[in-house]
Amino acid sequence: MALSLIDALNLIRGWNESIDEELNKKHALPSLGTLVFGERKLEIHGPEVYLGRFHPQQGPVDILFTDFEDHEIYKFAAPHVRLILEKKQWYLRSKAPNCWTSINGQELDHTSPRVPISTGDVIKVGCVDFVFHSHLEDLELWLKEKKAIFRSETETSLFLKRDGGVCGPRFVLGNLKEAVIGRAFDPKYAAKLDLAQPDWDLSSLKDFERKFIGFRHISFLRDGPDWTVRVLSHRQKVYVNRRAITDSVLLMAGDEVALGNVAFHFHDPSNFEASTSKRTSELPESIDWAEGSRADIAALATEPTEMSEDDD
Amino acid sequence: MFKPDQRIEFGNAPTTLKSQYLGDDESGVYLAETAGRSSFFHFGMSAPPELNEVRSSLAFSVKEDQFLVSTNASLVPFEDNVWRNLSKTEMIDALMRFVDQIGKLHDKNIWVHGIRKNEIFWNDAEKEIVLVVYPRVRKNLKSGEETVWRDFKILSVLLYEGFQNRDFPGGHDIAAWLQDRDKLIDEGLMYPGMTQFLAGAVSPYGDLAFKDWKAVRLSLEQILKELQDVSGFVVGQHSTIGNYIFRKNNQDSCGFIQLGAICGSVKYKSGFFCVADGIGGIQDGEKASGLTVESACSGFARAWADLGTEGLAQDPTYYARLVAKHVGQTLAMEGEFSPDENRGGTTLSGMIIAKDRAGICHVGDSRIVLIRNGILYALTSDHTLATILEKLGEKTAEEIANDDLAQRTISRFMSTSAEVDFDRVDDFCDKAKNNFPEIRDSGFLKIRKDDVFIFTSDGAHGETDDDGTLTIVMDNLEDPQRIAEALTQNAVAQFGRDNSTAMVVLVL
Repeated sequence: MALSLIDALNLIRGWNESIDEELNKKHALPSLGTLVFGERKLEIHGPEVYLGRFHPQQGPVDILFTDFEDHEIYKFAAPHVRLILEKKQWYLRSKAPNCWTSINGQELDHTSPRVPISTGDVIKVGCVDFVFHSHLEDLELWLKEKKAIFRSETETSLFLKRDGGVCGPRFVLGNLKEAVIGRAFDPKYAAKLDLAQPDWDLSSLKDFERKFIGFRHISFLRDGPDWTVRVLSHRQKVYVNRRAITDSVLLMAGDEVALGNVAFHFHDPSNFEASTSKRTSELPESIDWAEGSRADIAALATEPTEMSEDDD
Repeated sequence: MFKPDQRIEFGNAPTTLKSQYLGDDESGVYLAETAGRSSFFHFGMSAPPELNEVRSSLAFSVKEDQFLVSTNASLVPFEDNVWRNLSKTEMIDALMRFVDQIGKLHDKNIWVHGIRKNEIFWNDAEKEIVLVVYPRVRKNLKSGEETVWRDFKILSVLLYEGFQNRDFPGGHDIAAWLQDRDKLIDEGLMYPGMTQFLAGAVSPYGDLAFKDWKAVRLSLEQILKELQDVSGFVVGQHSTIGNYIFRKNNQDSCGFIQLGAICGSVKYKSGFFCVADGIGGIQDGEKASGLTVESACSGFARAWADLGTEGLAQDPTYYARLVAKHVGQTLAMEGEFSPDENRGGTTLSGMIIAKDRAGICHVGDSRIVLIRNGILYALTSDHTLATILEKLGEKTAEEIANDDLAQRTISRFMSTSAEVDFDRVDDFCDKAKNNFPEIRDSGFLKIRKDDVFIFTSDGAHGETDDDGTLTIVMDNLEDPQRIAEALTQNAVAQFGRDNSTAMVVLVL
């Protein structure tokens, strides 16, 4: 029998990464919807989610399209679509200029208004057809479980988010003066550069999550009751409420801090309402690189009616 | 008396006897058809019920004095031509499994009492010999060297005919030759392990005789060890900046590490071989590819130090991909802790060879090809925009072939900013899996003596096609260094736009 992945990797790299099984436990919240593609399922654990590729310039997405073939990934935008649950109705908005999106064959582009979607709808994203399934029957349970998770923590903490919702694992900042978050690295760098290993080691995240996490990515600094996040990594991005930051930012209850494409919810129990009811921030609008190009102008010329309708 | 197309009762399956295969009267073996498939019936002789257990996978069952031997359509009467065209490894493997079949009977004190060629069949799907009739089978015989010899003497016939590709001269002649060194040399019977086996198989009595089936199997295992051993590799490598005026340095790297040990008659040879093509700024690309080769080789060495060749041979592809994953993490650490010097990336195409097994890891548009018996086989598929466009079907093959940008744009690489996902480290491409079924079955390629593996950066393979590569290899077949130099010089002669690197591994 060949060695397990982690044992074999520890052997090959000559130093050990520890395993934190907590980081990969089943999602703590029920799913509110599912996108089915063949035998694969993408579960939606939040009422407002971005889906697509992650591009550092554009900001984090909630559900990353991973495990697809190269040519399928090539056709995904970063982000590609946004799903919003509002008044017990799911809506979809295409966010991708020049990338294919359709619902049951009806084409959408990034200027199209949002479209209601229901169970059984076929959503084409790039060249992949997903079948959507809504689980609105679990909405009450979702709200109850979400509150229960936050109530279970009485200290200032960071909650890991996955697929649009807090999923369970957390790091308690509490009364610490400073906490560094990142992932374990070769002790030879620690010795050579006199650097400590991170206080919260995220090595055990899935490959597609950890790849954009720096080894010493961010630092949380406490000044009385206030917490500030400071960027440490020279290579990996940090986003607060989906806007990239390059230095330090004072955090507010309910803020979302993302390391690469992995998001965390900043929970301050002293401000429970703000901490638990903040909406997900929107990503900046995607840049339409084709805008103003000859092809784009030609397309406008052939579709005057559609454009004028939109303008109205 | 037997009549053609005679129907017989056999369980619920309608069965028709087609022809008599063995025997002169009603007792014997008949070719029959059961539910549209060929089968064999044996009449007139009671078979011990224990025989049922021998080949249960072949639907072997007993009914009164009849027993169905097989309903397996791929079973065919043993043919010398088929046997002699097998590889030596396949022959020994088949003989060993045959010994296991007989050994199970011997353990139950059942003795076949001699086996003839027309009593065995060949299962080509499984590459195995199947004993289909037991006309002289006996229970509770007094075991001893002679009874063992009687059941296994056919093995000396099969081994001799398979290895020497000529008819067996008879046990007496072999016994005489074994005492005459010159005659053995003349007859070409000096193959390691074979002379010892023949001595045991033709000796009914005495010190040389096989004591039991396990001794027969051990002797075959010894021959297999001799066959399986890869005695080593010869490696040639060459890399050049090329002569394109805008290329200021060579960002390609390649390297290998060979490790060997001899334990008894087993030679443990293993190695890691790789090529990496740097991308990025002038220095960053060179640094990324150099670091990749260094960390890949050292990672392999650490794995070998702990697992040994045997451990790596259990799954060489898995370990090769893990080496790539380790390299990805090393690059990411360098990128994070020395960001000003490490902003590049690189391709990586590497191979672990352990014993006679090879596994690969592949990210990017460098290539590994195998040349075997004058045929070039691709082992990797380029991670380029051209491959993506081909899969999307949005452009014609001709348009893609002429799209220089698509050919040169890579869709996966090892980056200093984000370590590669394990799932995105490829192994053998689909074409290789179709050409070599063992890759689909077990995940690794079985290497053979005289195999030539070529590792190239796109600067080398991008300036020629498969036929051109093959011509260069065949013209310099005995000298891997000359092949490597010829491949890179060919790119220089084309005034290629890229650095050009080739590493060539010849299996001895």
